[in-house]
Amino acid sequence: MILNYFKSCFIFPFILIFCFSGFKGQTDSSFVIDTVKNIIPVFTTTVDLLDNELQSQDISGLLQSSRDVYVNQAGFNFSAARYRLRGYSSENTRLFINGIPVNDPENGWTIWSYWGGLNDVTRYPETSFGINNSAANFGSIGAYSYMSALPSVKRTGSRVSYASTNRSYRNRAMYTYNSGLNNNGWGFLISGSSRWSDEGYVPGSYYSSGSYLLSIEKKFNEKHTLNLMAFGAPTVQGRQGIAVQETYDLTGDPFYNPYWGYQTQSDGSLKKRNARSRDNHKPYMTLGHYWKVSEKLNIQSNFYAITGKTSNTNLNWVDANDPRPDYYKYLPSYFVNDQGTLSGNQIIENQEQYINISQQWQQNNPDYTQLNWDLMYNANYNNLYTQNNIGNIDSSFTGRRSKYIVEEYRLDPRHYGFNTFGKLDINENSSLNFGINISNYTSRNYRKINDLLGGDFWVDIDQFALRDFNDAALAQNDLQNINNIVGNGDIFGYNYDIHVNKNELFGTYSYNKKRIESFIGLNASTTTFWRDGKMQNGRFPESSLGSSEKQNFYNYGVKFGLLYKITGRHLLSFNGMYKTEAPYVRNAYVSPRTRDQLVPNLSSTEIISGDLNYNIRLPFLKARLTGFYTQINDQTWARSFYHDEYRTFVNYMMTNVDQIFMGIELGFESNITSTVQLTGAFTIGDYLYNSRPVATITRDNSQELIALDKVVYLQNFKIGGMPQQASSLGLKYNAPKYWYAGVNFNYFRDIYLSPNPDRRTAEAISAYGAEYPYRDEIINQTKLSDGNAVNLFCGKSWKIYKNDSYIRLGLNVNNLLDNTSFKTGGFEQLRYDASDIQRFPNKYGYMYGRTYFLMLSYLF
Amino acid sequence: MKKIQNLLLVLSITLFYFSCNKQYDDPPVNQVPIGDIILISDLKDMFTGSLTLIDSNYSIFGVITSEETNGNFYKEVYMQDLSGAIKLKLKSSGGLYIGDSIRINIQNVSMSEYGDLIQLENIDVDQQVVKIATEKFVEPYESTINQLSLSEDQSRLVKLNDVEFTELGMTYADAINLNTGSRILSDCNGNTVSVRTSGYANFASDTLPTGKGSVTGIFTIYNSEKQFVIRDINEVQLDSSRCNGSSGGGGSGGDYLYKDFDDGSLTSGGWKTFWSGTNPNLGEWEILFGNIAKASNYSNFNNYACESWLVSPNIDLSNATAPYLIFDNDTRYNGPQLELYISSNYDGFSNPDVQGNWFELTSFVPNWDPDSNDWGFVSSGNIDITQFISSSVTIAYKYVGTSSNGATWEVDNIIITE
Repeated sequence: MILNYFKSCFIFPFILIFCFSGFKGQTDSSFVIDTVKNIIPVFTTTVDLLDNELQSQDISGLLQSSRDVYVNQAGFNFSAARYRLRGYSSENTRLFINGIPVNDPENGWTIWSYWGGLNDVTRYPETSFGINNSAANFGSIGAYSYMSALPSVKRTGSRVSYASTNRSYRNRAMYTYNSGLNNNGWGFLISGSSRWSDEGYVPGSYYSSGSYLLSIEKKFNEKHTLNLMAFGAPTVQGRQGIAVQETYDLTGDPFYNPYWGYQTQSDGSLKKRNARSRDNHKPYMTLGHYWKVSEKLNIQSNFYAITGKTSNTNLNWVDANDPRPDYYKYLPSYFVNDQGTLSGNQIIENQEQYINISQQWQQNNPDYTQLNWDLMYNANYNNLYTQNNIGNIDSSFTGRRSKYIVEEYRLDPRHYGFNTFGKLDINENSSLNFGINISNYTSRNYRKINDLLGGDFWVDIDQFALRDFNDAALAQNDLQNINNIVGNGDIFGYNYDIHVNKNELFGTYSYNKKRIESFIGLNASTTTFWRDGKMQNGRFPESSLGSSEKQNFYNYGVKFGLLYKITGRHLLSFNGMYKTEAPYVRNAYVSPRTRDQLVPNLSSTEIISGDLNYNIRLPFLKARLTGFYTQINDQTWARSFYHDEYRTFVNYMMTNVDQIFMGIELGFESNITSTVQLTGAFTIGDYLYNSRPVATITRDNSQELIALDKVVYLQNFKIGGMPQQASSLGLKYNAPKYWYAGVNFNYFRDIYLSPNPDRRTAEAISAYGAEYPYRDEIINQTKLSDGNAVNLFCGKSWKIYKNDSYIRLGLNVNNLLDNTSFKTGGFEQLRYDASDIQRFPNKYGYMYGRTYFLMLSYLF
Repeated sequence: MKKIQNLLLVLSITLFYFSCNKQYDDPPVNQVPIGDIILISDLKDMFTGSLTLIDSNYSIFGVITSEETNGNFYKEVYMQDLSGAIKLKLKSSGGLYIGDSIRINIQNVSMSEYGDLIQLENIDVDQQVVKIATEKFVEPYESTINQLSLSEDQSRLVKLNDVEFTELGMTYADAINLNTGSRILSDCNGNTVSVRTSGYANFASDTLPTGKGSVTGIFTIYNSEKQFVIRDINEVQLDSSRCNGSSGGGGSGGDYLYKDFDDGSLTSGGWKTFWSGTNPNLGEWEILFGNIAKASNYSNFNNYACESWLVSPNIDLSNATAPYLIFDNDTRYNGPQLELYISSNYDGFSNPDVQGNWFELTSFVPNWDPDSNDWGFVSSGNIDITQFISSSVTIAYKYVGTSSNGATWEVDNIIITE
C-alpha cells in the first residue's frame, strides 16, 4: 500500500507535496477517519467547480475532493449536467468547516459560494459518502465532510496562483500561506483570493468576489490547543436567467439572458446592467479547543458564529408595463396564441405584430430582447404624484413616485452555536464517537429599496389588494405605517425574523477486528422554530405581527454499518439508517412574508436508507460497486412564484411528499500500464415520487385560500432536474517527465423536468374529457434528450531545486466539442393554462459550451 | 516582514471587492416636444368622422378627471380643459390619477370614435405625457339629464342632482362573472341615463342605493344613449326620499340590509352561499319561484348530509343606535332547526365554517315557523342586534341536513333596520 502511495506521488508531483505535508499534519490530528476510502489515492484536478453558480444543489466540490473512486469522477464529470449523488438534494449532506456546521438551519442546504475562492484550504477534507461513521455528528445519507483549517494540519508554505477562464468569472488570483506550528506552538494560516469578470460566459452576467481566511493556532502543551478562525467570501454577481425555448430559437443563443439591458450613461455610452444581482457575504467565525484528555480520549469543542447578509435583487413595478423582455405577451407566440379570439382587422394587425416582433427578436434588437432601463427611468422621472394620508399624522407628500424600482430581498443570518465532539478508544478493537451540538439561529428577512431608478419615493402598499377590495386598510403592508413613503435603502413589503433552535446529541460505537469493521450509532434532537413578524400586514392584521406559536419537534435516528474483508483486496459492506428529521422551517409556513399560518399537517420527515457495497483494491484495479435504496417520506415541499395576474407571490405547499431513491453505482480506476490509467463511473438510478401529496395554495396578498387539501397525483413521477443515468469513461496518461494529460467521455440519460404539481390534479383536467387531445400534454412529464460532454485536462510541474519550490501549469477544457444543444434542466412554469399549455411553456437551461480553465501556480 | 506584506496584499484585494458593486449614471431625460398648444375643443373639431391621424406638432393641456385605481376604468382616463373633455385610451394601464395636470404631445396620435364618443388612441403615458402638477381637482359640472349635450358635454365630469336608481335590489355590475352592468338612473321627470359599471370595479357587487340624491361621474355616450360612469363610489349620494315620497323600493326607511330575492338572485348585493355535503347540489340554497331562498336536502326519498350557508354582505352599523333584524321564514318536514348567526369579524369571502367568530342567534328569534305539515311564511319578529353594532356586521343562516332527515327551509325579506 505504501508503495502504491509513493507511486501515485511520483506520478503526480503536486500530490507528493500534499502527501508529505499532509502526513506531517495528520500525525498531529486525532480526527482522521480511518476508512477504506481514505487509502485510495486521490486525483484532484486544478480546476474545481466549487465556484459553480448552482447555488443550492451543487456539491460537486465536495464530490471532487473525495478519494472514492466513483464519487471523485462523478464530481468532475457529472456536475455540468446537474448530477446529484444518488439523487439526494443537498440537505442530505453534512458539512463542517473547522468545526462549524455549515448546513443552513432553515433549509438544510450547503451553499458553496459562501466559501468560494478558499480552494487552497478546502481542497482536502475528510469526506465519506453514503451512510458512515462520521466523527463530528450523526451524519446523513448523502455525504459527510470535515474540512480542517488548522495550521498544524494543512500543508505549510506558500502557494500563489493565477487562473484564466471563460466561465462565470474570467480571472482568479489566489494566495495562501501557512506557517505550520513554530517552536512556541504558534501557527497561522491565511488565504485570500479574488475572482472577477466584467462579463461572464453568459451575456450580461458578471462576477466579482473576494475571499479571506485567517486561522491562528496555539498549542499550549500536549493536551491543549486553541484555534481562532474566520473566513468569508464577499461576492457580487449579475445572474443568468433561463427562458422559454422560443427566445433561444429566435435569438439563436442558448445562453440568452433576459436579466440585463442597456442603460445610457452621462457620456452617452451604453452600459449593460443586470437587474438580478446577488450580493452575499457571510463571515464564519469559530473559537475551537482541541483537548487530548488522554491517549485514549480526544475532545474538540467550538464556539461558532455565522453572520452577514444574503441579498438578491429584482425589478418591481406598479401601475406600469411588465418590464421583462421575455414576458409572454411580448413574444411572437403570444400573437399566434390569441388568434382565435380575434376578427377582421385585428387578425391583420396581429399578423403584422407577429412578423415585426419576430424580426426584432431574430435581429437581437436589444430594445425587444433585453430590459430597457432608460424607459424605466423616464417613466419614473415623469410620474409626479401626491400621496395623501401618510402615517398617523395624515400628512401628504408630492414627488416623483417610482413606477419601476430595483428591490432587494434580504436574508441576514445570525447563527450562534456550540458543539463538542470526541472519540474514546475503549480498547484495541472498539471506540466511541460522541458529540453534542447546540445551535441558536435567527434570520432577518426583509425587502428593501435598492434603487428608485430616478424617482423620489415608493409607497408601501399592495396595489392588487387595493384594486380588489374597497378598503384602503387591506392594501397596507404595514398597518403601523399607513401609506409608508419609502426611499433608497428603506425596508418595505415584509419584515420578519425566523428562529430555529436545535439541540443534537449523538454517539457511534465502532468495533473493528481484522476482518470486520462495524459501527452502530444513535442520535436524538430537538428542534424549535417560530416566526416573529415586524410588520402588521393589512390583509392579515391578526397573524402577521409579533411572535408566532413555537413549533417543537423531537427526532431520533439509528444507523449501522458492517464491513467484511473477504481478503484484504475484496471488501463487502452494508450500511443502513433510519431517522426522522424535523421539517425545515423554509417549508413550514404557507406565506412567511405575510403571516405565521402553518402548513396544514406539518410533520417530521422519515428517512429509511440502506446501501450494499463491494470494493476491490488490486494493484492494477480499484473499483466499487454499490446498490442503494432510500425512502424519504412525509416531506413538505414549498415553492413561491410570482403570478403576473395576481401581481403577487403565490405559495404552493405540499405535504405528505414521499420519494424513493434507488439505483446502482460503479466506479473503477485501472492502471493499464505504469503510465496509462483507465477510469470509469456509471450510475443507473430511479428517483421517484411515491405518494399522492396534498397541496395548499395561498397567495401573499389575499386571505383567500386558492386551494386546500388538493390531491396531487404525483405517484411514480420522476424527480426532476438531474440525470438519473450517467456514465463517464476516462483515459489518463501520466508521463514520467512530470506531465499528464487525459480525456473523459461523459453521457447523461433520463433527465426529467420537475413536475408542476398543480398540473397533476383532478382539477387541472376536470374541464376536459378523456378524449381531449391535449390532456396528455397537461399531465405527462417532460423528459429531456440525452446529452454528452467530452472533457480534456493536462498539466505539467517543474521543481526548482534551488529553493525547493514548484511551478505547476494546468489546463482543463470542458465540453471540448462545444455541444450547446444539451438541455441540462429547467422547470415547468407553476403558472399554467390548461386550455393552452404552451401559453406558459417550460423554461430550459443549457450546458455551457466549450470552456477552459488555465492555471499557473507557484508553491514555495 | 514579507509575510506581513503578503497578508496586507490579500486583505486589500479582499476589501477592494467589498466595495465593488457596479455603479450606473442616471439616463438622460426624454424631452416631450411642445409644438403648438391647442384646446381640446379645437382638437375634437379636427375629427373627420373616421380615424384621424394628427400629423402636426400639437400639445393639449388639461386635468385628469378619472383614474383606474378602483377598477371601474381600465386603460383609459378622461381629460378636461376649459373648452371640453376627451377620452384617452392608454397604451398601458396606470400612471394618471384624478387631479393630474398634464400636457400631451399628440403628434402622430390617432383620434377615433366609439359610439360617437371621440377618443385619442394609444397614449403612452411615459413617453408622450408631461405631468405638471397634481391635485388640481376639477369641479363637476352640475347639470340635469336633459341639459346634457351629446356632443358638447361628452367625456365631461358631471354632477346630476335629484336622481335615483330605478332597478332596486340589483348590484352595480356582475362581479362574479366580471360582466359590465348597466343600471338606469332617472330624475323625477323620467329622464334617464345608463350607469355603466365594470365587473372589475371594487364596488361592482354593492347593491344599488335606494334613495334619491346626487351622482358625480363621467358623462359618456353610446350613439344617442346617454351614459354615466362612476369614478368613486363615495360620489354616489342617494340618501334622500325618492321622487314618489318613499325612501326606496319596497324597503322601509333607512334599511341597513334589505334582501327580498325578487331579482331572482341569491348572491346579488354581496350575498354568498357555501355548501359542503355528500350529494352535489342537495341542501344548497336556491331560488324558489324566482323570489324566495330555499334549502332542502331531500331527493328521491333520500336525505343527504350537508351544511349550507347563506351569508349576508358585511354591513356597516356604526351609525345605528338600535338596529334589529327581521325576516320571513317557513319550514316543513322533519329535520334540524335552521340556525341563525351573527359576526363582526367575518372577512367577507371565506367559508364561515373556518373564518369569523359567529354568535348563534337561533334561540333569540321570537318566531320560527313550526313544522305544521303545511306551507306558509311567518315573520320572525324583531331581533335586537344593538349589542353587535360595529362597522362590519354579517348575518348568516346555516342549514343542516343529515343522512336520515332534513327539513325544507325558506327565508325571504331579510331586513336590518331601526
